[in-house]
Amino acid sequence: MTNEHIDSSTLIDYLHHELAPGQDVLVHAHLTACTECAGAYEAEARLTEALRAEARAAERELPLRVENHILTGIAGRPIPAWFQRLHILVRPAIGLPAAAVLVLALALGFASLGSHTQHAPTIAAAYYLDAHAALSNRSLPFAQTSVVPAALDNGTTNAGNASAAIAANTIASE
Amino acid sequence: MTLRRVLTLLLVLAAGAHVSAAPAQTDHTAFALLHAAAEAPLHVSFVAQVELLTIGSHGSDASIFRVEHRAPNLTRRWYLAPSNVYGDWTVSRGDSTYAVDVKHHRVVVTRHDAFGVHFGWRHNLALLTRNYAPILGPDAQIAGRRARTISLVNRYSGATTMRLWVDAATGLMLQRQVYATDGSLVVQMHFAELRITNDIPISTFSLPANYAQTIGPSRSLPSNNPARAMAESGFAARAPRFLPEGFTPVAADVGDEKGIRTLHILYSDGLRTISLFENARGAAVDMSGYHPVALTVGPLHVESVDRGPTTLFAWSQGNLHYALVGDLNREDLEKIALSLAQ
Repeated sequence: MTNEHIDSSTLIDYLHHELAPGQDVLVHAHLTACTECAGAYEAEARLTEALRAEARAAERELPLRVENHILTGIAGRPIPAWFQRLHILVRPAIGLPAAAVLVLALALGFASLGSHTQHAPTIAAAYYLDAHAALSNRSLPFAQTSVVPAALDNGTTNAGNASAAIAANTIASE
Repeated sequence: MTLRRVLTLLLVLAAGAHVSAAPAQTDHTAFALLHAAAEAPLHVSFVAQVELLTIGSHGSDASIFRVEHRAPNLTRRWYLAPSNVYGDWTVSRGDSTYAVDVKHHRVVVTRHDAFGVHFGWRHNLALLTRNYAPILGPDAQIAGRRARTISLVNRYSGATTMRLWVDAATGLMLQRQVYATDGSLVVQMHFAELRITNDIPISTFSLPANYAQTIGPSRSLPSNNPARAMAESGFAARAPRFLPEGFTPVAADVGDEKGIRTLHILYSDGLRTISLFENARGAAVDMSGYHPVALTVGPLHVESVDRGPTTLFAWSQGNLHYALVGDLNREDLEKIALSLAQ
């Protein structure tokens, strides 16, 4: 990547965070070393910002009162009576495929019974605390309260997602 | 009633009205300064040393880091403390962060988890100023520079929730203090040194060669339409019937953690935040590494942990599992939890 300049579609994808993380890192590394591509990136960034500013100026947000009303409406929507739900389920279009799936699932379930014990999944408390911090930080002013990034503090990574090492020459000077 | 008594009563009433109305007034100079502070990182490049402190009732955390910020959105943080991250650094580009873990020779890439400089806080200033009155205070000296002080006073309670010290010359936020409802300090961010410069080379933000690259905690792109996120969650999600005054839903996402579809809605009054997580799989919360406390909140059996000033409540009801996270006092969190049970 160091010797070849980045094409404009890759640059635009990078700008909009559309690249896969591995490619994103490579492009980032290249831009820190290649002034020509960095210049092209700056030009694209300015254009994007100008378009966003134009869009923001024309944007009309849904009033918060309306949003709240919708949320309250969803929370308070009536739940159908059990016989109404049963009536829907026993219609042939739904009932027959559902029965077939049920039979298959039971067969598979019995087959696997005893071979291993399934544990209920758990979600780490840190996931909730970090997700709260991340969404607060990007959505609100002055919200940042994470003393260090979770990625450094507890080394949280998705197992199996490790990819190849960044090539040695990707950040070499031109 | 004598004329003197009537006049005295009128004076007392007028004084009372002044005290209760004062927080509702907007100081237009303070408001302009707040806007300037929101815009400053977009056009001011600087090198600084920053101290960040969070104080909880069960423990506190602190970090010290060097910051190189190249406007508008490239930021490098190099950690001096605590010792477990000493020498590590992060490079943030907008809301993507590359965390360079020197000890493990790896770069952790995280999307939608901004660790730059005050990123994104321009978007909800309207909500903040609807619920908080910005009031100018006396000037101060921070990092050897003249700073103007803004207190953000809650329009309902009259309590000062945050105080900012903004560089008079550039608009950069040099110090920030957050206070709990009892007035105690819970967060402080402080610039110990600052140098404004336009000469930060782009190579400052380069990443080390030959480091393994791993994907950090996955975060989906949040929606600013919580109602739609609720509808798309795939289960009958519930919304709290009680929220503290001024709070409203501001963002949401529906993510899959360990294959469990989880709805996350962020509520805020512009400064304080609460996250409500819901899933229909009854997935328990793993609290290992923390000191959970069992609480009885009405009919609910709640487990609670604290991290700095932030509290996590977790409980199940019916086929739904809830996690409520926020930096509010325990009484308000309990009221929110109870309102979901009604």
